[in-house]
Amino acid sequence: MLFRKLFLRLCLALEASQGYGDAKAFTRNLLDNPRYPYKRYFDLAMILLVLLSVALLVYSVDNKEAPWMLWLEDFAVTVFVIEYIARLWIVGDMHHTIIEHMRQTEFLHLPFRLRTAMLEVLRVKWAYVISPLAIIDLLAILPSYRPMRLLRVFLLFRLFKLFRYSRSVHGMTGVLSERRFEFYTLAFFMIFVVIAAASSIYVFEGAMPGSTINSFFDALYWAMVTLSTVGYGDITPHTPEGRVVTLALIVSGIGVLAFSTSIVVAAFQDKLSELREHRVISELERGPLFTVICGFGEVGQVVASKLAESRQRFMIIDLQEDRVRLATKRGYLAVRGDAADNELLETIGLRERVHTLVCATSNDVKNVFITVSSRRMHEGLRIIACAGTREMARKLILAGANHVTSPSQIVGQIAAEFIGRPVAFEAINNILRGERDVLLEALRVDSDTPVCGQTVAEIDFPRRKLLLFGIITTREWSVGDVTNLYPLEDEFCFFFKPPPEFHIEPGDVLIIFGYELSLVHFRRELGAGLFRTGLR
Amino acid sequence: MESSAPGIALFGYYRSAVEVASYLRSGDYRVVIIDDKPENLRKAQDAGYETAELDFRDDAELAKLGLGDTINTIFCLFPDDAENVFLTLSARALAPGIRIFSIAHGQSAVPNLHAAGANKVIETEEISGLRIWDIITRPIVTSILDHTLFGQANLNVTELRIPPGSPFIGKQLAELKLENSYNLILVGMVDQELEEHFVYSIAVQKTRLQAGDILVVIGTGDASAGLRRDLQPEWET
Repeated sequence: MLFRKLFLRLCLALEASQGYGDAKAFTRNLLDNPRYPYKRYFDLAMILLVLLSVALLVYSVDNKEAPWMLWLEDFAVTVFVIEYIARLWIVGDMHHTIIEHMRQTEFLHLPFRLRTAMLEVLRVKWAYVISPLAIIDLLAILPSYRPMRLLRVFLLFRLFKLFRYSRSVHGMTGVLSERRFEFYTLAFFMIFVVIAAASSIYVFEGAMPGSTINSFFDALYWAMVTLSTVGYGDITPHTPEGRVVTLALIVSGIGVLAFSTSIVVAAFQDKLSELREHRVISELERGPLFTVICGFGEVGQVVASKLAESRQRFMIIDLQEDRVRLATKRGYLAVRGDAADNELLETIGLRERVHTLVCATSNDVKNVFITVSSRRMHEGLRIIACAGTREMARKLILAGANHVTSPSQIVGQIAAEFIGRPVAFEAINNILRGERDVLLEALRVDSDTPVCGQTVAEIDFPRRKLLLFGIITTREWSVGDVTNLYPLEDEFCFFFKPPPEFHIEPGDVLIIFGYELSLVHFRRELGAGLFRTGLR
Repeated sequence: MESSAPGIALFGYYRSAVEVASYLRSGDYRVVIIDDKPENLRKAQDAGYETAELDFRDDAELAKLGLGDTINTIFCLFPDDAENVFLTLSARALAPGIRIFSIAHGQSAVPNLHAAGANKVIETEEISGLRIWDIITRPIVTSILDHTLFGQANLNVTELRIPPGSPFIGKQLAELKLENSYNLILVGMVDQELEEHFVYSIAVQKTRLQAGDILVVIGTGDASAGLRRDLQPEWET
């Protein structure tokens, strides 16, 4: 009774303890979270330790171990034991399960039984203990225990531990395990052939004087060696009956070999893109946030080449194999898949790792779908979508896109300018596209820059060979004519052509035309960084 | 830049043409939509445009249209680049003085269209990609331009040609003080002497204006209308 009370109090204390939770979360990340930055180093260290300890084992076969080797072995085992315990620890939350159980029984006015709760906990832990990877872990440790020295060869199981630390090995086993059905069929067939051949050869030659087959095990060994087309030749049939069996076994052996090869090849063929996807994703998981381009058509290609030019991080998702190949050939990270697939967006880490999503598939319906689902997954994501028609543009905005561009609409705009005012449009277009060396830039004024508090007239833009197009500000500015104020998102306003007496204050964004040279010079003097990320 | 108002022919009523036609409708132009597919023409008619059914592959039919005569600008808006090239070539042969605007899908078609005689070629997907690139890198600038110049707000880019006898002739750009007296920003001008070459106002403050120069300004419609009025020779006002 007292024990139970103490135990429950301990559980509650653990639940409340910040340090315990943090330690557990850290362990979890280190052992199991592929996105955790330090996991890489942990994995690398473990791989080295495994290789080292196996190398020692091999060395000690016909060499005498030096003392430092024993010491290293002990160290490796200690690490493996700690790792095993830690892995067991992070499976489930014992105190949490028990508290949950307590609350449930209290709620239902049932008597609280510690045993049922503990059984629940143990069930979860046991499920982990008997999982293949955990068994490998255990087998890697056990033989170090002196009385079990016989099992020394199991130390080689440590090599299997490498599965844990390398994702590509993991991927391969995954691929093969997906072909379970084919392998079962194959194994069944093989077992049948081997037993049939072994028993017949044993019957024919087992009792013959001078025969090399002395036991049923010899017969099995011979059947297996023949079936695999290895054929050592240490055991050979001597009777005509035995040779007939051999002939049949050789033919079926070729079949088995061909079948198993084709299973493996087909499995990898199917999964090749998935393995590449893993590589792409793990490459993106390091480093800063990135952009995702859905659809590597003409539009996507332009965006990708521009992003690559300015060395920004991005990845491409496309449904068509040849486009993915094209992107890969150009050195971009590309994944074949359907961007409308939530699972894919989830695996690439849309929630945490992506800042901008470009929807540029040629299918409007798909663009809408991608927009809706990615908006749902990530509230703060910037979504730029491509629309075929004007109605579609409206739908995309409704679906949650921040910006929509429509090729046909741009053609319309350009056409109208081409007819109406070709010169003006050419000029604006050049500025917009940053051609020639004239730019339209947005510069944010920080609180401690020299221009703060100065008026537009004092800064004297014309002398600096700059043209002030306008200022983005949040301040109410009602003096004079308000016709030059254009509302933007939120509380921001664009003040076109502010009057000379306008005071510049921190947080304002200046929109300036000018030559690159004068802009750079001005920026140096102003001390304000280029403001490119958004209004805030 | 001929400002006489003969018509504009749009070939191929597809997505781009829908947009082009709707932008041109707001201007004062005679627009004819030409297509060889009745269902496209029906859509154009439903939208209220003048239409003509003809096969652009037939030079005789094209000639009947009055290219270079009643029609001085054509838009080749077929989704197939080969058709646009073919049409551009035929139209250029029939009427050397005509203005031809064509769209292209993919880089490779652009030089072909230029070679065939198009005055302006727009690569639709490329330009869309560049717009997306702008949104990614310069969100503020793009959003302002979308809100003002291309959007609902009444800020416009306007071209104003200085007529002969205008009181502005002989003045320097810096003297004009368009910012204060007209509520306009002068982006630049096309100097008659420099052969239709556009120069930015930040570079040329000292050039003296001449008849035939074109000023490019940004401002509200009213403001530019005010400047346009003042540009006229005094005896006309």
